[in-house]
Order: sequence, then structure tokens, then C-alpha cells
Amino acid sequence: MLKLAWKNILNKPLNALLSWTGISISAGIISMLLIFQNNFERQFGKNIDGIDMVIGAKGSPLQLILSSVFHIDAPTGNIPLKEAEQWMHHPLVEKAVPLAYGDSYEGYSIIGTTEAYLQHYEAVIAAGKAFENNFEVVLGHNLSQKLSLKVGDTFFSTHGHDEHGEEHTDQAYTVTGVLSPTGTVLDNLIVGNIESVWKIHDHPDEHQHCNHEDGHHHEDKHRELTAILVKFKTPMALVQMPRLINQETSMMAAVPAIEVNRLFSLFGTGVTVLKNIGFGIMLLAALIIFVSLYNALKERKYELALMRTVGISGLRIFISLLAEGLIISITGICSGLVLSRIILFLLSGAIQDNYHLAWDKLWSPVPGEPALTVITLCLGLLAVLIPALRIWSLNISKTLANG
Amino acid sequence: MLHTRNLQFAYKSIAFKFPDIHCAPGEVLLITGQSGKGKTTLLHLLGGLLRPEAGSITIGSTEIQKLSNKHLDRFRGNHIGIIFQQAHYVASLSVLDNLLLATHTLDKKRKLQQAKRLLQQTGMEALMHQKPDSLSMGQQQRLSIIRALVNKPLLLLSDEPTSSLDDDNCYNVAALLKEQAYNNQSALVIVTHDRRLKEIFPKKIEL
Repeated sequence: MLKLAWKNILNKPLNALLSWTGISISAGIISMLLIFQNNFERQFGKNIDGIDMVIGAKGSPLQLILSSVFHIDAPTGNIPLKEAEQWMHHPLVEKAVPLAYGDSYEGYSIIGTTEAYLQHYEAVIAAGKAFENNFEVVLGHNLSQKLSLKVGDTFFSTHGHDEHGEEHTDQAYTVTGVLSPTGTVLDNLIVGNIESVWKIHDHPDEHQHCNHEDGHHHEDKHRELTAILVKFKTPMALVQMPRLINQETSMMAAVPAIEVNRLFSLFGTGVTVLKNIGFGIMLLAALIIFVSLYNALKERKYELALMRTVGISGLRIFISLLAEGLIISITGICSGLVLSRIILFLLSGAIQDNYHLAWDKLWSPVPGEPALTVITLCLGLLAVLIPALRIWSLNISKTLANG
Repeated sequence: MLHTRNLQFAYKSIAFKFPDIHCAPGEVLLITGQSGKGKTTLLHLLGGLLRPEAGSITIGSTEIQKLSNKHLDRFRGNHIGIIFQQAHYVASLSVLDNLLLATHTLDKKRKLQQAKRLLQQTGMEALMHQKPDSLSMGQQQRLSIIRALVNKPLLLLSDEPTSSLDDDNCYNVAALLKEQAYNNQSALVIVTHDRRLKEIFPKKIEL
């Protein structure tokens, strides 16, 4: 009976192809969204792990998080080091990592920070050595290949995030090392000390101008940070500290967990819409299977009647028809799931550049896909069930007498 | 082999009362009559495709009107071969597969042997891997006859087997039917209004 089902599919290849394509595409779209969402949430979760609060200049808290933690947005501005330091040494703070950024090379951010930043992401030096002096940097794991830079090479940074921004030509950075992979944003960053970032923006003419004044004051005035990543000693601090900072200082405190959730809910609407489109296509595919099988059975009613007369039971014919639908559904699901991964795999380069997001375990099923498979199968089954049930209501004598 | 008694059947508006029929193994019985006299209805009754309102049909030693639907299906599959006016077949299967589909022997090797032997006897061997659609009318009708014979039925029923065939094919089909019925010792009942067949088969019942 399986053979009969298979032969029937081959006999109408275009119909089968249409149904199969529909199921493939719909399953593919939905699976793609599931993988994307899953990876997105996991990667974002991984990156904010261990960061309870971010302090930066006033502005949009989401922007602060996107720029300071994920480095996919421009910074909100700078905060004076002096003011920031008070909070970095606050008794409730377990760890505070200062960041100074705003420059880039070929679109990849250069971060001025301390060793604590590398420790936070548990990165170790894979080649060369860590940065020690000014204008020495280490590259995130992905960058050594992408930028074709190796230990000992030098480059000029660009102001801002734009690849075509103004170059800081008076000082070149030297690569001293390459980091091990961490699966976080760090893989796509260039990391050096804070002084380098300060010095690059200390223009000589300003120096001269300022030298007329009190030198010490000048130092402090220009010492600015862009953001501070903070980890608290106790979760209790999470309730008071951000409010305190927001109310009493000119700085802003943002909680990554809250902002990322906000981002997910914004994003979620779009994903939901796309998922519904996917299910729409799937319904359409089911309808195509239904209609083509229904029509085919109308044409084939003589042969169904004939099979009954030669003693093949209704049940066996029914099973053969179900198999026909199931073969198409199952192959459709399989190819859909594979298709989505192939597309995502091909897109991985662009997505990594734009979102600093790498596919983790792309070839294993993500949550939601088993449910997707079951739903698709049920739909496919339902689409064949209705026409297939008609074999029992077929009047053999009448059908054959009229033939 | 085949006996009927007091067979009656009614559609919504028309009622039929059929004469009693007897047909011995290897014998050919022609049932003739004008359109609307219930020729096909009678054939479907004999084949268990329809159930009589009254009367009995005995094939071999089985009164088929007493069988349940399921058993009737099985009995028909095993012991009755039906050849229809138009050749029906499963379009997606090859000639050979169509035959195998109708064969109820469980042993696969014997199944294949039987089908091939019949194809050989009827000169259709070369066509066995073709789709039935690509055969000529005469060949399609021959396929129907072979298919009706694969299970060596007790009773062979044929509904206007020659009405759409030219003279040559008509005589070929008639000869094939007669020969195979005799070889198998099946009772053969042909429903027809084809004059050419009336000349060949002497025993007939007029409805």
C-alpha cells in the first residue's frame, strides 16, 4: 500500500511538488524564526550575565545598554571620571568595570578598559600578550581573521562608529594579542587601556591652551568614562542604587535585564507577526494538499471502486491515501527544517557583523520545533483525512455502472 | 456452480424480478436484453456489489447474500472476477503492478509467476512495465480480463466486455474469455446486447 501511495505521488508530480513546497517554506520560515529568537535571547542573556547595572550619561537607557553591553549603538555621552569613581567604590558594589569607547576600526569598536573587562567575559590571551602600555590593544577572537590583523600590526582608529569617519592619524594602535573565543560580544571588539582613548582625544592645541591653567585640573576635566558595568554584592542594591543614581547625580543608571526584556517585547511583536505569516502559508499548503487530493480522488473514484471490487478493503485503501499525504508532509517538514538552517548559515556572516550574534548549535533542534513538527503533521493529516474518509461512502455499483 | 432463486431488487422507482439462473463450471451464460431491463444490476447482484431485496445467490457452496460486508468483500476478492464495460485500472501503477494489486496469494513469488504466466498467455508480456493509459482499448480490455482471472475465480462476470471494441478485438476477447473460463473451470456470465457475442455463445437468458 505504501508503494501505491508513492506511485500515486509520482503520477502527479506537479501537485506533489506544490504541496511539498508550501509545507517546506512555511515550516522553514517558522523554524527560522524560532532559531533566530532562541539564539537572540540566549546570546543577549549570555552577554548581560553578571552585569547588574550600567552607569552612563543621561539619555535613553536602552541605548546605553545597547552601546555599553552589546556595542551595537552609539554611546549616550560621557560621564566625568571623578563623579563615576564615587559609585565604583560604593560599598554595595562588588565589581565595577570602567569603559571608554566611541572610536572604531573598520566598524569594530575600540574599548578602553581594564583587565577586569577581559576577566568578566572569562577571556584569555590565545596569541601574543595582553595590552600593557598606551596604544596597545588585543583583538577579539573573530577580528584577527576579519580584519586580517596579526600580532605586531598597527592601525589608525576612526572617530565614531562609521567606517568612513575621521581618522585619528596622529597615533596608531599596535596589536599585542588575540583573545580566545568567548561566544560573547567580546569576540568582535578591540580592547585597550583607558588612557589610550583619552590620549587620542587630547589634541595638542587644547594642551597648549589648557597649560595656561592649572595642570591638575586639566587632567581631571578630561578624564571621562563612557560607561561603567557594575555587579552588586547583594540583589537588594538593584532596587535602590539605580534610583539613587538617577535622582541624585547627572548620570544615568540602567538595568540590562529590564532593557533587554523591553527589547524582546518590542522584537516579539515582529516575530509573532512573521510566525503568523508562516502559519498562514502552512494553512495554504494544507489547503493545496486537500484540494489536489480531493480532485485526484474524484478522478480516481473508478480505480477506488475497482480496488474495492477486487477485494482490497476500504481500510487498506484509506491507509494508502493517508500515507500519500504523510509522505508529502514529512518530506516537507524535513526539507523546511534543513532549509531554514541553510539560509541562516548563509546569512551568519551578515548577522554576526550587524548584531554580533553567532549561531550556537545551529543544527540541533530549538525549543518549539517539535511542536512545529507535530502541528504540521496534524494539518497534513487533516487535509488528507477528509477526502480519504469518502472512500467509505463511495457507491461502488453506481460508480462502476456509470463508467 | 452459480444458482439464483427468486432474485429481486428495487431502485427508488423501478423494481426488478429476475429469472432463476444456473451456470455450471466452465460454462458460458449470456444475459441479454434491452437497456433498462436491469442487466448491469443483475451482474452487480451476482458480484456482490449490490445486495438483493429477496431471493438467494449461491456461488460454489456459499450463499453470498448472507455474508457480512467484510466477508462479502473478501469472498468477492477471492472467488469472483469482474470485467467491466470500460477498462478500469489504477492509473499510477504499471500493468504488472495492477495485476499484482488484485492478486490475493500471499506468496510473492507465486503471485509474480501467476501474473506473468497470464500476461504471456495473452501476448501482453512486452507491455507489463507500461502504464495502462498507454495501452490500446483492446489491450486494456485484455488487462481487465487477466486481472479478473488472477485469483482463479469460481465465477467470472463480464459487463458488455466487447461493446467498445472492433470486430477483430471483439472475437479475440470472446475467445480469450471462453478459453480462460474453460481452463479455470469458472462459471462465466456475460451481460451484453452485442449481436456478435450472441452468435458465439449459444446459452442465453433474455431479460
